Amino acid sequence: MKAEKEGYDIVTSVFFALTFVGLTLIVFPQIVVLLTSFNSTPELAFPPKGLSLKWYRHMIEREAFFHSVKLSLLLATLATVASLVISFLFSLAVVRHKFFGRDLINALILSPLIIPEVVSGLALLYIFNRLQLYNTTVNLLILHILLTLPYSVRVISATLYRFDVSLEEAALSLGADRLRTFALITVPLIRPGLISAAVFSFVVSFNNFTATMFIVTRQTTLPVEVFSYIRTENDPTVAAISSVFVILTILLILVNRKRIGARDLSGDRTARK
Amino acid sequence: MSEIHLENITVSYGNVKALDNFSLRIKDGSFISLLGPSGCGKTTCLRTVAGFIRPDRGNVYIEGKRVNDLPPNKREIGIVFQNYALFPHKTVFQNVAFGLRMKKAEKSEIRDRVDEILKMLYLSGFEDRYPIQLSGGQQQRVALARALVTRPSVLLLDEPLGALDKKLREEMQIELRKLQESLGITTLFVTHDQEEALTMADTIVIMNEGKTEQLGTPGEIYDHPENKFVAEFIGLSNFLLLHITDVDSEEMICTLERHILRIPKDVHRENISRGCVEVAIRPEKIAMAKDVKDEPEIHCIPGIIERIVYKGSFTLYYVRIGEKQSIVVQRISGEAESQDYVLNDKIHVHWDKRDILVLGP
Repeated sequence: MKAEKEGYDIVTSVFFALTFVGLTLIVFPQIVVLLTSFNSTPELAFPPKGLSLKWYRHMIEREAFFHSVKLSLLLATLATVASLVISFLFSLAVVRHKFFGRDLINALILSPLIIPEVVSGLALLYIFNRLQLYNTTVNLLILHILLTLPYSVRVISATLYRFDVSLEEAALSLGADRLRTFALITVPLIRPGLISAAVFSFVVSFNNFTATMFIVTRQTTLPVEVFSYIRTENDPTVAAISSVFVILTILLILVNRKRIGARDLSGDRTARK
Repeated sequence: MSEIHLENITVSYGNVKALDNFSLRIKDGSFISLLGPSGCGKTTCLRTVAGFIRPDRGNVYIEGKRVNDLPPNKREIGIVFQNYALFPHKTVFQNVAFGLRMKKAEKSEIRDRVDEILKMLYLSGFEDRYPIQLSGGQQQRVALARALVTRPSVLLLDEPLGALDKKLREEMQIELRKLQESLGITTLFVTHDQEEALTMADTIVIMNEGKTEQLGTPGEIYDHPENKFVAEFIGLSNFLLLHITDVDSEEMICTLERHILRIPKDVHRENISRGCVEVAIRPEKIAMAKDVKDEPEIHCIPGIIERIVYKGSFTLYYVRIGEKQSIVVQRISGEAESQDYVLNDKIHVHWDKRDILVLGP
């Protein structure tokens, strides 16, 4: 009995240690970047040699950064909206109906998860050139929708699969037409899924680098701009940019956690019995 | 007038016919129960009336109007689902008010009618609770209130009591029937629980493989099952295979394990003259005695008690009456005539010959 208890303690300690190491590896680099951004000398030094905010000012004053942030935010917003609409309609078809080729189409939509981004990027670049499509924003948007679809489809399909169809039937039987049933019953109940899908899509689009690299021209997205900047410069401006986005992301998650947490409860109540 | 009429309905799922040329007429204000094993088509029938399923063939009439092409939201029906399907993001009040809101009723009218129905179902004071904060019985009553508040012409109940425990279920059976009678609403009730159907319905439809096996009052179904499926499905029955030796104008003379049984012709409709005939006899119609009862109106067969099962208010005796044939006798526990019998007693089982149910060859 005693030996068994000790064994249990050892296993628990090992798990705690592993968790601690894992979390440290995730969090530590972020702290390094944050501290580096306040370095007063023009190098990525850690620990910082003296404190300064001048890299933040440099970041704001450099127009290329400003334009790339604008393009990244625009792309992420449009890709998220498009991805949600497509995913919802697609998931509805896949979850509620059986049709010829359903599994194949499902696999194709999820395939960007498996196919290396180098391949996706190259393939699209080739297609856009063949079709003589040279509008960078539109091309990037198409790419980003393709890249975000697997994430939003998976989240929304899972939510719809747990959704009890008899709730919609109850609303119909009470005199609500299809549109009102959708607006008053379906959407409020799958909202947690829609929010998660939106967050995933936005982050995937905003962060994408590899595939985006193939499509960008002179107009670039923020990750590409950061990459080209550090190829020529070695000052902490990129650390300042990174810090801003790390903090923004953390704030976004904190705000969403409260809202998703409360909604999740109502989502769970619709689970099939 | 809210009569429901199903006319030659066929509904197929792939190769399986859930309803096969099924017809049914439900009179205004009646309480009809569809009873059958799972997969017999009873839920399909309910969903066809509701408008969730479009029949491949046949017509659905509500109040004499053909409603095949009418979507569910235009059919003026109330449904209580097996899992209640209460809207989890809405309070009890909002759930019940939903149907009235869809009909664009005045705010004050909504308030009055919701109050009235909640009072009727003992739910006053629960208006602001969410479904998850209610017990199973309360949820069930909210579902009923939501279905009835719009005063639909038809009430459809899809195993609404299945999730309740036995005691609550039996209480609700009586409550529900009282409510239905006072509102006079035409009700179609789907269940696989025969006791529930016998307790509640004025008419029972026994269904199997998309077809009606028998339609009748609970008494008719129990006392005069028309075929083996019904006899087996409702209550407990002993099935006996008899050899016909002779038929005259009044009686069919049969043998069972060398005992002669005379069955009056007027107890059955089947016109059988030779070979074998299958009959059934309810366990509670059989009595036991030490001695032979030699009376013309009675069938009497000797046997040995091989098992006694005490069931509380009644006791089952398994009596061997032949090499391969046993018969179950049900007696009230502690009654004078049978309480002295013990295992391996040699006794005689007997029954009134008019209690025999002739099922067919």
